[in-house]
Order: sequence, then structure tokens, then C-alpha cells
Amino acid sequence: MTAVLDRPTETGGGVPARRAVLRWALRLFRREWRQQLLVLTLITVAVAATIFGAAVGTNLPLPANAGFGSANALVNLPGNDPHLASEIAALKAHFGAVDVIENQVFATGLVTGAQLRAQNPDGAFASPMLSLVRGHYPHGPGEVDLTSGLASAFRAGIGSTWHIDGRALRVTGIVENPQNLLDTFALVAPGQVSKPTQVTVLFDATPLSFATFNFAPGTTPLRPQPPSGLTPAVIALAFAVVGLFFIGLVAVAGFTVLAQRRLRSLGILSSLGATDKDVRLVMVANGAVVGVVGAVLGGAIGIAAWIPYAPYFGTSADHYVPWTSLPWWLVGVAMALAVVTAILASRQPARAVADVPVVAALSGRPVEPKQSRRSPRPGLAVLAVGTVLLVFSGGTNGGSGSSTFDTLAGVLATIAGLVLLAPVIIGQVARVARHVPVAGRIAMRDLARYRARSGAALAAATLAVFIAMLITLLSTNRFTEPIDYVGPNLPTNQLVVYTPGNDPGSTSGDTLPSSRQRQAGQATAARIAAALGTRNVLPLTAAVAPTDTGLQQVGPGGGQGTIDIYVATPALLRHYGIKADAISPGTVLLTSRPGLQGSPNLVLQYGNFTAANPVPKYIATPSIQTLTSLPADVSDPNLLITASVAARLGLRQATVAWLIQAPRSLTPVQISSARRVAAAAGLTIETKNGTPSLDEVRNDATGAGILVALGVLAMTIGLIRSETSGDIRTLTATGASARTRRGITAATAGALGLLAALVGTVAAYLAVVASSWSELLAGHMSLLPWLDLAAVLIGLPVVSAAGGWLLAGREPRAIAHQPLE
Amino acid sequence: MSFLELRHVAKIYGEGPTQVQALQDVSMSVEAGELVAVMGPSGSGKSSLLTIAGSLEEPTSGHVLVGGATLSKLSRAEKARLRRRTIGYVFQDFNLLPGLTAVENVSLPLELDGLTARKARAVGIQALDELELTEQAERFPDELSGGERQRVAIARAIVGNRKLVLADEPSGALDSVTGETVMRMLVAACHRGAATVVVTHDAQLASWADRVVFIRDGRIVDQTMPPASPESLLQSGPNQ
Repeated sequence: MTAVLDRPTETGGGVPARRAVLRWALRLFRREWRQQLLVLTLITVAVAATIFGAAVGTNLPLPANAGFGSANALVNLPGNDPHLASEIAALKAHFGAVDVIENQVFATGLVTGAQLRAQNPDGAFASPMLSLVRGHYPHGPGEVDLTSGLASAFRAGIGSTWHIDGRALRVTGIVENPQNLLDTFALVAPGQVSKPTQVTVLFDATPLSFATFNFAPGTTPLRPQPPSGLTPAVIALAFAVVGLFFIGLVAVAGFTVLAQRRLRSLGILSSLGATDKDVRLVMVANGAVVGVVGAVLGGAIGIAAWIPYAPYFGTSADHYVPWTSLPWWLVGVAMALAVVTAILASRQPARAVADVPVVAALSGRPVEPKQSRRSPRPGLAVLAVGTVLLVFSGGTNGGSGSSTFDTLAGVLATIAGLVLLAPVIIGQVARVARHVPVAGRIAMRDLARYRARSGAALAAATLAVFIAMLITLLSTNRFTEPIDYVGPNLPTNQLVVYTPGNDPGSTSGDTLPSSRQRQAGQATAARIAAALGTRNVLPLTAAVAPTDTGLQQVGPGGGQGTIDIYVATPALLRHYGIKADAISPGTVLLTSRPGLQGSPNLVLQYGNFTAANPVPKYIATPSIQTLTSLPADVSDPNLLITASVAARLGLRQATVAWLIQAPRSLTPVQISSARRVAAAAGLTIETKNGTPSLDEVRNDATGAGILVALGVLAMTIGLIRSETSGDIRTLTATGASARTRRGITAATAGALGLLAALVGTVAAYLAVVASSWSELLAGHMSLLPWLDLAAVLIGLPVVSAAGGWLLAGREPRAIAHQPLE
Repeated sequence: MSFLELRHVAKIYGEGPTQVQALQDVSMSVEAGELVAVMGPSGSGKSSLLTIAGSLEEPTSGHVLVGGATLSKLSRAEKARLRRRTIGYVFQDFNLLPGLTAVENVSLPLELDGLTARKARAVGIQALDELELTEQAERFPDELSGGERQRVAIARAIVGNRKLVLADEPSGALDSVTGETVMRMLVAACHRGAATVVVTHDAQLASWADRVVFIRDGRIVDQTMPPASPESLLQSGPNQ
């Protein structure tokens, strides 16, 4: 019939056979890509998110050379140094070329100040620190360029006149510092700063020349600090590995079901003489194609999303971020990892399907799952290792003793432990099955029978819940820390006017304002309040220099402290409707901070802190009374010392700020106007900043975790149920209604959702308790975010089950036999 | 000399209470160029006989020899090579791979055996041409009629000079006319020297065989020469 065939003698078909199998695999992928959309989407999203996240993480901190321009060293000299010129000359003689920048601080009314700066735009080193946005650089004595923030604050534009120190300067351009967009300055031509506060000299230095130069006393020589510890890119890579591991779990389930759908086709291939290797190659090649397509798509999406976002991100990160500023090595590694993940995920199903006897494969009969009795010991052991690492990580609040490596390794080990335990937990589900109705019974027993797949799904959903609950618990813990208090600073309808040196930007204790500053402050506060349509102005009194107060926790788990203590003046108490007799006798501190009252080992420090050798005094375990009528926001008076105690301790008291309560949220125009009024009086203002509230953080984390878990469950339930499609056909043939079929899927989804919620939550609690045990012992940890717990523990299973019910119920396509895909 | 030989073959499925004896002490042989029909009621072990003879599954006991090679002594890879080169299998429901065209299905065993795609395709086209399926060569299975699919499946089973063709109810899903066409092709394969075993329920189709083996409860209960077939009446010779 045919010509004599010249065929190889080896048992396999060599390259031609592999090529034929690969061609078929590619064609199958093209035909059946929709069935692989789940894995493809997950890989695509993971790669895109890794690239985008790494770009954001890497570019978030200011560049290492911020402030240095293109130089590798600088020295800050005091502006009033009588030997300034000779010191600059000495620097030039020793290091060669130098670039000199003169700065003069001036008040603007902003919490962060501004500088009048004389800098050569074409300087040897400083040019990367200066960029012209519009107009031109100042050339002569009467010209100035402003940063956009300053121009906006002073309502100055190009061509307008701007006044400083009695000088009128014409605005000729808008400038910025690309290395630090927060840098607020007015640029004048070199030599036009008459009274510099500080002079910065930039130069290039070798380690030896830097070490051997004799810098004058009072100067500050600096070199860029190399990044220490784990870089953001490495952390992004670690998260990418976790994410891809998580996706790998889902992919194993996805490829397993795909292999089963192709069981007959693969059986045919075997019956035609394909070797086991050929059969495995079909699945592995498919995995590789999915990985490559996902990696390429994800890479393209990640980069495409980053390119337009980079300029906007630069404004958030406060420095210029070019789109090319990507950790390109990480892009390559993430894409390669995606391909490797998909290939590895396809290997196990490939091996399993190649082991199926040809006759069973041809009949489309799934191999009966092996009744393996997996031991919980490996999972428990890895979980224990994770817990121990977290215990020794030194806490999650970023304290000085905390170890990023231990924390990261601890979390990863905890995740690995969960993954190992998931099939064991699934195995226990069947034990309770006998007590539930038939649909639930079938679903739960199927979960246990096909635990290789359901275990992977459970692990993936558990991981999502674990991460969400971890964020929720850690943020709850952090935000409810009563001593080192964080959170939103003010409501949107409040504004605080500060006297000089007493705003939140000041690093030292409160200073005594002059009588002129106090009067100006009072008048300005009244003027701003009137402009906002309110007369609700509360003077805030604090201990001022040379005295100060501070509350600190000592002993195990201690170390936190706070200095933001106002005095509970009669006016303040009256403002919040607190009657004098509501304060218990002997009370030292009043607070609205939950948990502060009762915190152990508290010490109130007071006394003269500005003396040459300060000898602080203490009140151990001061009596604290919680008053819920006091405000709780950070910049509000949430911690007060009673007036009588303040007087008894000899604290010097003064009004340092005024809290204005407007009838409605402040508009940007009102804030800008208030800032100008304050600036004119030499004062600063504070309004609500962008710090999210605890509820926002918790709800976002919980919502995202539930959504991811639901997504994983929705996608994997379909896979699990398709594996048992034969049973569904049998049930349908025996008269099972759509209600029964819906019940099975709903029970499958609900059971997995409940297990994921329970295990993920318990694991998150374990991780948080292990990592923050010292804070727990210190007694100021709140770990019961009830609403979020309810959302996860009740909401997730209920929504999973409801989704399963709604999406299931369709009658099988073929009842008599498994269709050939 | 027998090309296919089964010696005391037994096959047991399952264990314990679920155990099923599919074949018991089955011995038979098929000569090169001989067409043997296997008949028997459902569950009698016909298909098991065929799958064991085709190396698709292992007998519980006994031996199967194909072209003198004992299957139990071959590795999985060697059995795969045997299926690529020597054994052709025809299934009742065709079992064509849906992602491949007719000619790609036919040439697949050759490609799996190491022949380049171009050469395998040429041989596949030739095989389809001989079965008058040239026009259908580039069509996918779901674009072919049932009869065409089975003819493609037969082309795939005999391509590459296979010496043993095993057909499991090859006309079971076809109408009687198409069924006869299929049988005619299998007979043609025999005439080219292939040992052929056909499992069928249809006595009419079994009449095409040189010999009919009857199986019941896993045992060969009878072997008989069939009555003269319509085709054999046309042939002359001392045995007719």
C-alpha cells in the first residue's frame, strides 16, 4: 500500500515525534484556550502586578542620590560662617570641580517651609536637581523662578511680581527639583541670596580623598547611603514568588481537569503508539504555551500600565520617575518564573494522565482517586517553623529590633504549612458528610475523594483570606496602638492654626510663642474661622519650653511614647461638654484613645528638658481617665493633662494652636486661602491629610481578600465539578433535578469557602500573635475587628454557596458518555 | 506461521467482591493475511481480547505474541513502537483526534515514529487516496460523515504497512451499506498480508471473515468456518 518507510530504530520517535506532538498541543491550545482562561488570566495578572508593583516599590523612595545631583559627596556649611569663601576654595583645591548652592529659609504659611535658593542651572553637579517646567531660568538680580507649589501658594505666575524680604522680583519661570518634588524653593541667579542659612557644596570624591579631607567644625559632610537590607525589588520578587506559587496551585487543578477532558484524545494518542513521554509532552507543552502567553501578556500589560502611570506616580513619590525606571531584571525574572510555574504545574497532571491505562483513557473513565492518607505532620512542622520565625522576627511594627528576613520567611513558611495542610483538612470533611442532605453529602465526599484538586483550591483561597486577615489584624493592631498613636489626623471640617515651632513638623517640644505671635495667632484663627463661617475656635494649651511632658511605656514590650499632650483647660473641657465633676479626683491624664487606660508600665515624664543636664521627673502609672467625648483624631486634643496636675508639676503653659471647626468640609480654595492668611502672619495651618483611616484599610483588605478568594473558588469549583461530571451525568440520568445539581455545587463552594475562611483566619491570628507576642503581653493589642471577621467567616462561605447555586444547574451536555473534547 | 498468538490468556478486572473474570484460558492464533471475526454476547470478553492482543492492556496470565515477540517481555516504550509500526486499531467510535485534519490523523503514527512531517504527510495522502478520501484530506473530523471518519480511521490503522489490524465493532456506528464498505477495506488489508481481527455483533459482516470465533463468559466456545460470503462466491479455488 505504501512506500518503504525509512524510520529510526530507537523506541521513541525523536524530534519528528516531538514536533508532531507539539503541533497538536499548540492546536489544542488554540481550540481550547477558553478552558484555560483561568490559569492564563491568573498568570497574566500575576506578572503584570509584579512588574507594576516592583516599579512602584522601586521608585517609591527618593533616589539614593537625591540632594547630591550627579555628585557623590556634599558638605553643608553654615550660611553665617565667616570663613565660607576660604572653605569653598579649600574644597575646590582638594576635590576639583565643585558646585555651590546657597539656601535661605523663609516662611510661607505651609507646615513645610521653603527656601530662597541661588543655584547655577548649568552647574557641574547640581543640574539633575533642577528642571525648568516653564519660562526661563533667572538671569539677573530682579528675576526669580518658583516651584509650582510656591507659585500656587502665592498666586504668582510667570510675569508677575513676587516679594521677599522687601525685594520685588519678577517671576520668569516655574522650576522643580526632579530628585525631590517636595523641595519647595524660589530660584534666583547665583550670588542673589544675601543671607544664606546654609550653603551646600557638591563635589566628586574618592573614599580616600573624602576621608583625608579635614572638614571644618560645624559642617556636615555627606555621601549617598547605599540601600540597606531587602530592596523593594527583592520584596516584590518575594511576593511574586508567593503569588506565582499560589497561582501554581490553581494551575495544577486547572491542568488536571484539562488533562481529564483530554483523556480520550490522549488515550487515542497512546493507542497509536505515542510513548509516555509524548503523552506527557502534550500537557507540558500546553503548560509552557500558557506560561509564555501569560508572561508575554502580563509583561506587556504591566509595562503598558506603568508607562502612563509613571509621571503621576512621580508626583506621589515626590520625585521625577521616568517610565524606563523599571527593575528590568525583575521583569525578566517574573516572566521566566511565570513560564516555569506553568510548566511545573502541568508536569504532575501530565505524569498522571500518562500513567492512565490506555483502555481506561480511551473510555474516558477517570482513574479512581488514590485513597492516600496524608500525614498532617509535614504541614504542622512547616507551620511551626513559620511561627517560630515570626516569634523571633521582633514584631511587625517596624521597631528597631524587627527583622524583615525573619518576618518574610515566617510568613512564607506559614503559607507553605497551610498549603501542605489543606489536603489533610479536606480529608476530614467527609467525616461530617453523613449528617448532611444528599447534595451536601455528595459534594463533601467528592471534595475528600478529589482532594488533590480541592486541596489546591482550598490552599489558594486560604492564602487569599490569610493575607487579607493578616493586613486587617496588623492594621487593627497598629491603628489601635494607644501610645504610639497613628491614624487620620483631622476630620475634613477641621483646621488647626499653629504658632511658629509648634506644628507637627517641628521635631522638638513646644516653644513659647511671643506675645505678638500669640496675638497674631488668635487674630488669624478668628479671621480664618470667620471666612469659614464659624466662630467655633478652640485655643489649645500645652506645656512649653523649657518644660515639657511625655508619656512613655517602659518594661517588656514597651518603648513607645507620645509627646502630644495638651492641657485640659476649662475652655477645652467646656468645648467638648465635659463638666469638671466628671473628672475623677486624682486623675492625671484624660484621653479618648481606646486602651490607653489600663495599659501597663506607663510613665509620665515632665520637667525642664532644655537644661544643659536635664533631670527628668516621673509620675509612675499615672491615673488615666477615658472620656469618649474627647475627639480621637491624631491632631485633635485626644490626650490631655489635667490643669491642676499641670500647675502642680510647675509646667509652663501657653496657647500654641487654635482648633477651628467648620460647619462643613473644607474646600481646596478655603484651605489655600487660610494658608495664605496664616503665612502672612508667620503661622502654619494643618488640615486633613491623605492617611487612610483604620476602617478604610481594614475594609479594603478584607474586601480584596474575599474577592480574590471568591474568584479562586469560582474558577476552581468549575474545575472540581467538571472532574466529577460523570457523577452529574449519572445523577441526571437517575432523575436528579437542577435543584440537586445546584445544591451539590453550592455545597462544594460553601464548604471550601468556609474552610478557607476558617483556616486563613486562624493562620493569620497565629502569625500576628506569634510576631507581636510582646505587644500582646504589654496589653495594648486589639485583635477583634468584628465586622471584618464576620465578613470573612460568614460572608465568604455564604457568598460562595450562593454563587455556586446560581451558576450551577445546567444539564450535562452529554448524559450517556463523556464527550470527546 | 501465526502473526498473532494468544496462549492461555486470562484477564481479571477488579479485586475481591468486585472481581470480574473477563477472559479465561483463551488461546487462539491468526495467520498473516487471515481475517478472523470474533462474536459473542455483550460482556463476553470480545473487546478485552482485542485490547490485550493490541497491547493496550496486560493479560492477568498467559502470553500474547505479535510477530513472534512476547508482549509481556516488552517495555512500555517497545509496546508503543509496536503499536506505531505493527498494530493498527480501528474503534467503533472512530477515535479521530479532533484537532487534526484527516491526513494529519492518518500520518500521526508515522510522525510519532520519527518520520518527518513532510514524508509522513505524503504517505498519509497516499493512504487516503487509496481509500478515495483525497478530497477529505484537509478536513477536520467534525467536518466528515460517519462513514468517512471510519474510513480515515482505517487508513490510520493500516498506514505504514501494519501487519496486524484489530477492529472493534468497526461498523457499529454505521449504516449497513457503509458497514459493508468498511468490511471490504479490512478484507483488502488482509489481502495485502495483514492479520486482521474484527469484533462484531453482526453475523452478516462476520460472514466476510475467514474464520469466526465465538466467545461466551470469557471463553472461546466455538470456532467455525463461516458460510461462503458474497465475495467468496466470486472467487474460484478448491476450497469454495
